[in-house]
Amino acid sequence: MQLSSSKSQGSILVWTVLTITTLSLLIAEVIRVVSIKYQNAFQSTQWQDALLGAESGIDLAIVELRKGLYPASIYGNMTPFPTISDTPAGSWDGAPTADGSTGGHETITIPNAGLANTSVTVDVRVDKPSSILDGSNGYQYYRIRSTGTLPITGPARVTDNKYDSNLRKLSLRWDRFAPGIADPHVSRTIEAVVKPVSTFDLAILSMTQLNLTDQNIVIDSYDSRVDTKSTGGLYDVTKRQQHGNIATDGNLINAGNAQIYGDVATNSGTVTGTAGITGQQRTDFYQPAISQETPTGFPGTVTTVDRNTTLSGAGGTQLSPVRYTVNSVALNGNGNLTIGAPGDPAGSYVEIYVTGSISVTGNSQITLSPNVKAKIYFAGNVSVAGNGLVNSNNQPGDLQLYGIKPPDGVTQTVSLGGNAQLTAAVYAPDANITVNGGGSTGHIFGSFVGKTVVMNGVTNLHYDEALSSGGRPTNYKIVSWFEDNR
Amino acid sequence: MMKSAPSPNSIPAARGKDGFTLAEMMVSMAAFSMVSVALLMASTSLRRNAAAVTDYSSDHADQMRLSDYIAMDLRRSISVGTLSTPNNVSMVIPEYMPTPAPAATPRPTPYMPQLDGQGGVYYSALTKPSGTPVSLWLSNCTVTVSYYLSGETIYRVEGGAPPIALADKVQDFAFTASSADNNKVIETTITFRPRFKSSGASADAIAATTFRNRTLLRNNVSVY
Repeated sequence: MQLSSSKSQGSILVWTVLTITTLSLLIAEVIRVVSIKYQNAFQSTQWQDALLGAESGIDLAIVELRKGLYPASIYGNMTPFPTISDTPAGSWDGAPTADGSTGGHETITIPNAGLANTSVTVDVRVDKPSSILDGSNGYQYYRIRSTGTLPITGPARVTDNKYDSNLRKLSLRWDRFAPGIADPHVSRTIEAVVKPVSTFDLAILSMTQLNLTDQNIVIDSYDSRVDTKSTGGLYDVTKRQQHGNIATDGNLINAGNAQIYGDVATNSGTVTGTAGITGQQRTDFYQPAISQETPTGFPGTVTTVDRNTTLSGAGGTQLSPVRYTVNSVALNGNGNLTIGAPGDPAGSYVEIYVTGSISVTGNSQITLSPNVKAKIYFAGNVSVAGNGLVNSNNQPGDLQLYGIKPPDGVTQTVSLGGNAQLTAAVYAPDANITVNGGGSTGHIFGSFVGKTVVMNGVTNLHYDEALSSGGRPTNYKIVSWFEDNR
Repeated sequence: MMKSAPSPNSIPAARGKDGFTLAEMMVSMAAFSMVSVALLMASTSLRRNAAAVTDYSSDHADQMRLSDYIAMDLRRSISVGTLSTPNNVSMVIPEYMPTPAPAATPRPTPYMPQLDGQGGVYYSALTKPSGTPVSLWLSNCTVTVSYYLSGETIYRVEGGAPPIALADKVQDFAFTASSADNNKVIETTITFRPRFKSSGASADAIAATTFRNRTLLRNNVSVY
């Protein structure tokens, strides 16, 4: 009986051990599979978050670049306007980049931003290779390279599928671009190129009110640089384009039954009279107004223009224009202001700083001579009527008017009109702009930026898309985006 | 007293302890068979269930990988090809660097960006010759990337480089691309046929596996 009992107990022990072993193997397999899936999900999430970090770096760089577009009084020692000779704006340290070009550099670590309380590190470099300098207008494009990096916690091993490694390129045992590795991590790099955005990127931009009145105005676009979009560099209705875009930082656009061949955008607002809008209607628009500061580099000698006056542009270039300081322009039928002498060489540049107001009435005119390009900065008001502004080149980009920010409490006004044809671009974000009509056959070519903009009796506004590559930069936008997944 | 020897014709006193009756054997065999069949069925079911779950999990991982691959290329694409063909998506991306071999060593060096004269940039080792139309020149500075299903494998091919496999044993996959939001966004959908039933997955079951991804085309200039 004792022997039989011992055999029975031994059998139970064997079965128990076998059962425990089987269950242990099952549990181990389950844990192994779950662990792999968890690690796969974790690594995938970190890889996705690395892209968010890299894109955040692009945004940060653009913010830094934008600071340089504002007056020095706002952001201290930032470079006011990036030009050919300027270094990149912003507060970064200007460390040289890998290719030797000077640029800005910043590394930012955001704790607890990743999964499982991991940190996100963003490394951003900004530079301006000479290959992306537009010599035709002095626009400097910037290259931004941003890398987002997150740590990989847990076992430093790839998941169960080798194809994941080909895509995500985790740095578990060694780094892809540097010898050795401190900690397992995943990183993604984006290279973006940003270009300056002109003040004249839209046909009309108002900071508050935009009223087209009820004049059945037609707003469209053409591109004087491209033969298929213009004829001889001039507007051709048969080649009409759909970029007559208008926008406001305010919340109301009175389209007044206008025919708009382009987009219409408000800042969470509404658009009335929308039947003739061919493009999109958006409500997510906002573009900060950058006031025009008093320009520098102008001579102290003041010229008064109250009779026939010619301001020669001979010798002026884009980078070094001939500059004049004028205390006021007051032509009341007794004379004309001619910008550029008839004999000036083609491509002469003139800049005029008017410390007071501009008033042209009667038969007087301000005439831009052929082949001359001019920028007029004015501190006071502008009132031009009766064919008072003649642009001989018929290119709105050749005659640009900039309204200098008035003192607080002072209202600046710009009134243009009465012309059968007006060809100019006006940037006066602190002024109330009124463009008066030129009759049923009147045509206005150009772009208008104002605190308020009223098109009063205007029947045709044609936006030259070439304006988007001229004028003062007021923003940056991405023109190229590429993920470097080497 | 000594026990007398049992008669040869007598029934042994310990008979009941030495064997089972036929009825007992049949009952026990029946019980054993039922338990064995139950165990076998449970084991088979468990194994099939485990295989189905593993297969589903693997397919889902393949879905995510394929989606991430396509999204990565869509983000940086200049244009997207015909969208109506299922299991075949192609796009054109900038030629940021020499078309890499799958395991190129050393890794290729990116080109410098250059202005295209129309407000954009391109990447190339060469500068556009004067007088060459921009549109014609830019076609030399791009690379076509295609995704397609061939047999049981989904491939990605970039330019003239050899195709690389992204997922295998995925003959039941279906992926498509379609545009949305005025062509600013491309939506990709990826589905597969789950194998939880031997009779095959229902339409609802297949639809339930759909994986969607909406990608903003960063190089579409009208999005900014």
